[in-house]
Amino acid sequence: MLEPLRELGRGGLDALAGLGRGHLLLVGILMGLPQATARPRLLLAQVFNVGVLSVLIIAVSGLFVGMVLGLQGYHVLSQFGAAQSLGVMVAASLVRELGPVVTALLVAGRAGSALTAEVGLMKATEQLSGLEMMAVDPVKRILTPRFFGGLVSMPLLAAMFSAVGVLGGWFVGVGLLGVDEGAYWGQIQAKIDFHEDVVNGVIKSLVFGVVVTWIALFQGYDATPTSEGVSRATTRTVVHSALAVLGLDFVMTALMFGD
Amino acid sequence: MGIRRPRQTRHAPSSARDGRHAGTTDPGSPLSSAPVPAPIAQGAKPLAARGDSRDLASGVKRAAGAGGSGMPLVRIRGLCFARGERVVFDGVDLDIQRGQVTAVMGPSGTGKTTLLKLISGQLRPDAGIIEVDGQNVHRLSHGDLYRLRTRMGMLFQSGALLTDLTVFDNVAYPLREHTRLPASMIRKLVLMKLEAVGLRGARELMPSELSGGMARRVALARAVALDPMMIMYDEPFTGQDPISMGVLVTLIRQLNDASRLTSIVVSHDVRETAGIADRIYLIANGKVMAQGTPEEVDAAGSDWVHQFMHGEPDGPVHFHYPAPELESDFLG
Repeated sequence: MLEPLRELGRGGLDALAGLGRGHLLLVGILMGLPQATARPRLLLAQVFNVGVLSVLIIAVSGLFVGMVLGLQGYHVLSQFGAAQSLGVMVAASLVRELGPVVTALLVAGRAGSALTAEVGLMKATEQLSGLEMMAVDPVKRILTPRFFGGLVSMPLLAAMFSAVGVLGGWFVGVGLLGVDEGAYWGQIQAKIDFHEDVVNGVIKSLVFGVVVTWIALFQGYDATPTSEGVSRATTRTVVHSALAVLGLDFVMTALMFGD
Repeated sequence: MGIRRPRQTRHAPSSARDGRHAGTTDPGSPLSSAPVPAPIAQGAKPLAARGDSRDLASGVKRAAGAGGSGMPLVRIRGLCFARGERVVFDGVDLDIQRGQVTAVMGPSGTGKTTLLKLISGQLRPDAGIIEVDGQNVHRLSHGDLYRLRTRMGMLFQSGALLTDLTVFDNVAYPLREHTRLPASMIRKLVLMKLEAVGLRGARELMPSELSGGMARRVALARAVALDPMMIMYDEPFTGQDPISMGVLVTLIRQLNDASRLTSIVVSHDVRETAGIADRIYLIANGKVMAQGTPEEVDAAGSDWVHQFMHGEPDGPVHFHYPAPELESDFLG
């Protein structure tokens, strides 16, 4: 009778303990930033791992998302005689929402899972303990540069996703469906506001960069040091990141555009 | 960082002296030149090749005096530690004397590795005191603990080499992290350490290209890179072929004596460990079951100790996990 209640309580306590460990880890990571900036090579290596290696998937995804937006947008807008507004619809959708959100989801799947697996395997093979025994703090030496890599890469990748997506929309709208090219670019130039659209999109990307990289690193660092434990942690990274990104997107959208 | 010149001693392990290990290595094998610690590489004759025939007891006395202090390097009192419901240590007292090779042995799962993690401050005891060089490890600040760890080396069971770095960079890692030595000096130091473990020629290899024995020797070179005061070996002989094991056994003893280290060897390989140990602690069921020199432990009257030291299947420790009768399992 009481057992399910007890299980529920135990699960809640475990979740709270995990949340506490995660926040302590984040503090440790942030405290390592000044030390990490003294070694720019380490940081650049992680920007390469997280950012540059994700460019292909981001660019291809952005292109297809932009093309779909162009196609669907033209279909809907032409019913109201507003097909010439296709450019602003595509650009606003990408810059405000799809760019930051889809990029974060893709980065969580590609780079986030890789970070979790890497850190989890370093733990399983005692490399993190080895660093500790060499009096090297693994949080500052291993996690902080990776966190920085995710933080810097996310807005850049989101910008790239949006830019390629706008080109994809242009290709379908202007190239295939006959929307006026001047109207396509002119509407974007006139209606997309730098502060309201672009800056808010960048803020979203930065928040997603922090959250996705933090979740990935914490799951790896907190993983049970077995092959099964690392596998579970990798799955948790993708699931938790996706939920956090979508939930936070709603909250931030409500705050930024909710009037 | 100053470079401490290792002292040459004439002490050699009984196992090495009687040719069981290094003496039996094939001269044509790539490992034949492996057990050459730094001073030997500078021209001295390998210890194993000297035919030093003095007994282990004289070596113990010599090593015990090497530290220059009567205080043990590691002092453990009333250590209690549990993992969940399972009690790993229940009031353990233990001393690691300076300059000696101390073996901590016991059956699998008795907490030998846990003991090393407690000594190095990676785990926190539930009760009791662990002092290293007079400092209570678990009362140190983060910075002080890390400063203490620069004077402690640890050889992990898996080697724990950083897989994205070459052998050279792995050994150079602690030097680059903790010293401001010029690259040319670091290169010389790393090559000396690698020469000592016989892997100078493997410096450009990645850890994935090393055999288990080679990885552990690289890890040993890395562990002694900063000339620590003590080194902890976690199951150094597990999974080693006879040649690599012989080389490692000899290396541990020679490094301890030549570099005036204090060594803690955690193992359940009785013959190899007892061959180089000055003192043995046998641990089981959360307690120290026996302690003393290898001869004293071997001569202990306890059936349990006798069974463990001689690897006998029958005795107080049963080979089979408790189970119903065989017939009832198969026929019932």
